[in-house]
Amino acid sequence: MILLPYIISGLAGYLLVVHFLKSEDSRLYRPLIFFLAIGAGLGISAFIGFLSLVYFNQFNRVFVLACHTAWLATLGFIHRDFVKEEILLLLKGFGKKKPDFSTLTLFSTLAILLWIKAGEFPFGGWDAWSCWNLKARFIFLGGQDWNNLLNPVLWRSSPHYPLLLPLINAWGWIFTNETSRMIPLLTSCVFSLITAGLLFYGLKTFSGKPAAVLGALLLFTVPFFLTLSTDQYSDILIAYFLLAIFLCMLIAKKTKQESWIFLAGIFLGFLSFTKPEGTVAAAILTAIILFELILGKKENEGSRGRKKTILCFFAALFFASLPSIIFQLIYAPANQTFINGLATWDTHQSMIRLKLIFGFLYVELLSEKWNGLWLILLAGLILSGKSAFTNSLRAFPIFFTLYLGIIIFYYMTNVYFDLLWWLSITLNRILSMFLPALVFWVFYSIWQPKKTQPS
Amino acid sequence: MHRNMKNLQNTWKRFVEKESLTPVRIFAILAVGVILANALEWPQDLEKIFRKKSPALLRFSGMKFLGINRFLPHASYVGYFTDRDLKKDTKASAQFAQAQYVLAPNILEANNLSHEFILFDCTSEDVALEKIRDIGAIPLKKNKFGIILATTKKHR
Repeated sequence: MILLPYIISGLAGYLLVVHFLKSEDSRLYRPLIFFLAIGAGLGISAFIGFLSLVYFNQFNRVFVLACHTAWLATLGFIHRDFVKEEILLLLKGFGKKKPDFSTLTLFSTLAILLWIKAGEFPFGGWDAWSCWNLKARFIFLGGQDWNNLLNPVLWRSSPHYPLLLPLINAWGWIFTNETSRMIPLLTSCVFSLITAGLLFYGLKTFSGKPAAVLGALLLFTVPFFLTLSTDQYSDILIAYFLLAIFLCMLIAKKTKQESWIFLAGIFLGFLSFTKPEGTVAAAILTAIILFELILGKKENEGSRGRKKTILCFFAALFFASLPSIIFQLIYAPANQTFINGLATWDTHQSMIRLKLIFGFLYVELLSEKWNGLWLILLAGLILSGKSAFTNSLRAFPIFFTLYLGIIIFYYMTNVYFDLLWWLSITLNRILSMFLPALVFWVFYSIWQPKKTQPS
Repeated sequence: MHRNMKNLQNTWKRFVEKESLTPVRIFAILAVGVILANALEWPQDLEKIFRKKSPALLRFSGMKFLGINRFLPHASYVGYFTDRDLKKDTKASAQFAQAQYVLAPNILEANNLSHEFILFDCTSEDVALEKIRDIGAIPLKKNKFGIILATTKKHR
């Protein structure tokens, strides 16, 4: 019963993905689609939950369940032949040849490790229960008073933060009929597992070389990364959506199918509803995708085709960003934990602040808790050389540079918190957000197929 | 000893000459090394988790406030009084935040004694009762953790 919300969301996401993709693509990227579908489905469930908050001014369980049923019935009916074919293929596959036991063992081991890790703090980390899970309780138990969560009195729980994760947890609680601590715990495990799946199959599919999957193993064996990903924070959602967007962009470039750009738009919308950091990341990625769409297709596509793809991207982005837009315009209170340091700019003090930020970043990257992960990634980046900056991969370095720049700027300008304390509790989480995408970039750069490497 | 060294040198030379040890392979070996080091850390890490004496649920001090919301009107404002320093005492601040978590969708307001219902979470029961007397409130409920729910007279 406790897994039911994730299965329903996974099915909803799967039907959404196959609705927009060509059937050849659906078969070619089958394992990737499986992991993309679960994330997309949980995003849809949160979307429906938010609709309920806007329309009924409460988390209406009947409405949320009815919407899921209608979604599954409609898309299931439209794609009944494809779904039937896929189920038959799955059954046949298991009957004829042996399943991939090594991969199954790998993922089962990871699932067990994640579960044990998550059980260490069943309520999650401090910011998880005081922010994300608290919001979920307000949504699920608050009835028409759900918006009490936006009350400035609760400034410690960042009332201005978006609601994707709390809405996913509230959706899960419908099936337990209480605010079971198992649901947020399971949500963090599911997102960790599907991020691992995306990274593993992303590297396997794109590079075609077994060595590339070392990247996934490297990241998901670091105990500290698993602690962060199972602490019930929203950061693992950002990590997942970032990787999903990059993979969709790469497949779109490879297949020249606009449906993948459409999917990237959907994931971008969900990303913008995760956390303010997610909103910033979504804005940067939107600009990068737009830039890629305008420049990248010049040679092989007419302006009409390009316009259609851009329109398709914006339609998906607009649709999936609706909760984020409505939340920011109507509901979100002002950020009470921000004091603009630019108003009292002091060059000397700012230089000290900048030195502290870079010093802390240096110490963090070399910290023992990461088990040399950052050094390995740096070595990999040096080794891959120009391959990491080819046209097909340039989105990665552009994104990381801009994102890190904005984060450092925010640390510089917001003088509300004691800088060292703030860095000590947030920097490692910010770094963990883009680790899966970073690992993918480095390992794919090294093991990408020869023809795409520069001569 | 000398012969062994020479053998080792020859093996290394053959290895490099045959391009067995390309930079990419060195990187892969390094990555495998780190993965193995990570894997070796896991038993210690798991042991640490299993060795923790008290059950994880008991370490969550918000559990002290379970059941109190039965006595509170739905989604109401509740005052929260403590004689600990919420700004400096991390434990007290955590307890307040966890109380808020457990009692949601009610809203706790720290050190606001003007609400109809007030929670007293003090270092001792005497301190709490003295404060209750001072503001002229009436104690309604006390749980086994010493948390007292009181109501202000004027609203009775």
